[in-house]
Amino acid sequence: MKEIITENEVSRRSVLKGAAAGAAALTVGGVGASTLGASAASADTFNVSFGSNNSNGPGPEQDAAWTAAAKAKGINVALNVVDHNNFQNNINSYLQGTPDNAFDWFSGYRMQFFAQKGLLTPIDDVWKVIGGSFTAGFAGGATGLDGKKYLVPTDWYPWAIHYRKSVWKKAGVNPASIKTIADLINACKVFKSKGYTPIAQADKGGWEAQGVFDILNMRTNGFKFHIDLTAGRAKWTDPRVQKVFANWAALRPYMSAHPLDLGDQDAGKLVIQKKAAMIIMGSFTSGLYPKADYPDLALIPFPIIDPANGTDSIDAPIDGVLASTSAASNMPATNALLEFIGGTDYSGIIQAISPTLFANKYATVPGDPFVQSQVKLVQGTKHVAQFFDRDSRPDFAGPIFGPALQKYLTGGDPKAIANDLAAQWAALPPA
Amino acid sequence: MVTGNKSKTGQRVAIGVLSVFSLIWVLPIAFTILQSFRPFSDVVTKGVMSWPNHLTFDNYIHAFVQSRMWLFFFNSVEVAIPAVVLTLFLASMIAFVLSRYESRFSVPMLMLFTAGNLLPPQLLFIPLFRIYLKIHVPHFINSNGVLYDTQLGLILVHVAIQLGFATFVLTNFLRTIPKEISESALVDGANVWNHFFRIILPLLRPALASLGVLMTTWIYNDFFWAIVLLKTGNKRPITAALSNLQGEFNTDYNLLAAGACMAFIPTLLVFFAMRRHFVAGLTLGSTKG
Repeated sequence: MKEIITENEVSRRSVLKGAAAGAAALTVGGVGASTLGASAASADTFNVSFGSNNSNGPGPEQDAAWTAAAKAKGINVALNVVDHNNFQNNINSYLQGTPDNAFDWFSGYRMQFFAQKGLLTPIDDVWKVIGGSFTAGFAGGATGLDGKKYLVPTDWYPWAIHYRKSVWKKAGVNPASIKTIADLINACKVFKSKGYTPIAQADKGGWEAQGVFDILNMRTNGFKFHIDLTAGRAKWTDPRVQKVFANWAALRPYMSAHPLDLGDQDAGKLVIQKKAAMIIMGSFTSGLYPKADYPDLALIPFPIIDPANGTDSIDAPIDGVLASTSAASNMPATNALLEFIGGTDYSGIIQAISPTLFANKYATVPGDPFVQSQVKLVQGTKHVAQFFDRDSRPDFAGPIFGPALQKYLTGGDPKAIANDLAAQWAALPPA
Repeated sequence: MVTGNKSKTGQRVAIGVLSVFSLIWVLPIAFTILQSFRPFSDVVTKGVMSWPNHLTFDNYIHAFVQSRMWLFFFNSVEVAIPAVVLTLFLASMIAFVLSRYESRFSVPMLMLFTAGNLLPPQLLFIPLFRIYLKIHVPHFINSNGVLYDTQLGLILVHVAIQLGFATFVLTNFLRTIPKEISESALVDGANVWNHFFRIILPLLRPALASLGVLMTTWIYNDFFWAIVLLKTGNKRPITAALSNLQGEFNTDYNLLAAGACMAFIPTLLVFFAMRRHFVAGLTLGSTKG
């Protein structure tokens, strides 16, 4: 078992995360005592249920940790671990059924959508306590359309160009020299001549290429247009959309020939196997790296297309914890749990075991060089977008925009696709 | 001579075709088993189609211990056994009435039971979900006080869905058994209960065994209902727990393969233990007396 933990990044991280959550519970008792004292001194025990979609982590040791938390004076956390994909697919029935008090979820539209349907409980009281620990950007991502707070941001990750240092060194390409899109295309030519696929591109799931669209749109047309477009304030028939596809077309000869055959993991592995030179992906791709290869992983921001925009924006989705409708009848304990998760004690426990980027500005940043480079990347940007499927309506991003990009990647005409997207947006029911 | 040669060639062709098909059938399973013994890092660095460096049991240990597959095995058993027993019991009662007390309702009722089979579960899911949220159960069954998210609810769904097919098969089977046996029982003064428990049920035994084997496999393999009617991870059966082995961002497919291999062991055991009944089950009810 020890073998797996050291050899296998995927299970190691999730296991660690699970273990950390368990350890977190242990301290809930102690921390809870101080934060709880005021809010609900009258109740004897604080029972709170927490739906975690962090599957394949928790083991028996975690159960023991929660049990220990129950014994300590504080909140008694009943953990419900469900696998990520099914949790996501069944979120609608989960929230309308008998949901746990608090649960793992995402920021942006994916949160607002359920907030508007009345399936979440606002947590403004929690934000009165934790609000000072988050920047305006994160606070904005945690706010619903009604101006109330719904999310406690936990961790996040940026989207960027990820590559192996050794591959670039061997090909003689200096990462620091990639300033503009022309530099990137020149580098791609070098990689191609040396037999690499310059850019691994996946789009089997329909979401992978959305990250490429996002960054191309932000670089080409700026952050404001991107956000207007995803939110429906700008039209898909706008000529600026065609400029994005034109820039994409210039990169296409250097991307994987059949992106629809590759899942994000398959494309990520091509980089690890040194068959592809880079991938435009979220930093979670690091989870695939065997321990020996992890130090070789690095990232650079996507280069400049229009100097007016520079490299001022990126996608950096935030994950966090929400309160369901069932929390309304269990507010003191839910609030205590959420306050704890939003605090630095929680982030400290997780980071002690697994390098993670926390939204809390007082959270320590892990010394891990790759994580440091993620922080540097985000500090160097002015605007942070969430990701297409969080910035746009869920009934547009998944079923309409995803297949449209797949069509584009299999040779569809960008003009026809854009017209189609405009028509389908117009046909959506009012949000 | 000529015919002998012909049949020999025919045999060769048949063997050739069958070998190809069995190879197609076996390959993915063999591939899964092989992958389950490879560490993830090996596959990541060398590719899935590469020859493994070394093989290891770690995936199995990880799946069984850390991912608590044993717990989910138990959950599966807890759902499958009561569901099968209840289905067979109820279905044999219905079959008994439909085949021994013929009335003008017998055929329409049999049709009704069979027609229920044709409804796709995806169609039933939303109404059932709503109904389950409205049905209250005592708190010792579910702390939320509703039938949703209980194993009892899952058992009831399986019983309801399997009942149609079981009734259909058992009724046809009973019709192959001479009515004279029943008549002589009645002449000897057996009442309805005695008739059912002492005459019909023992006669049904081979059919029940075959049907039981088939249904255990079906219910054990169910994924859909377990996902939509159970929200608590720890209550879910093994099929649903398999997807627990997938991570949020990255999935260790070797671990998943190990989990899948463990999940099909019980089905194999049931098959080998009751192989005779499996074959019988395939032809069950196909002949009508």
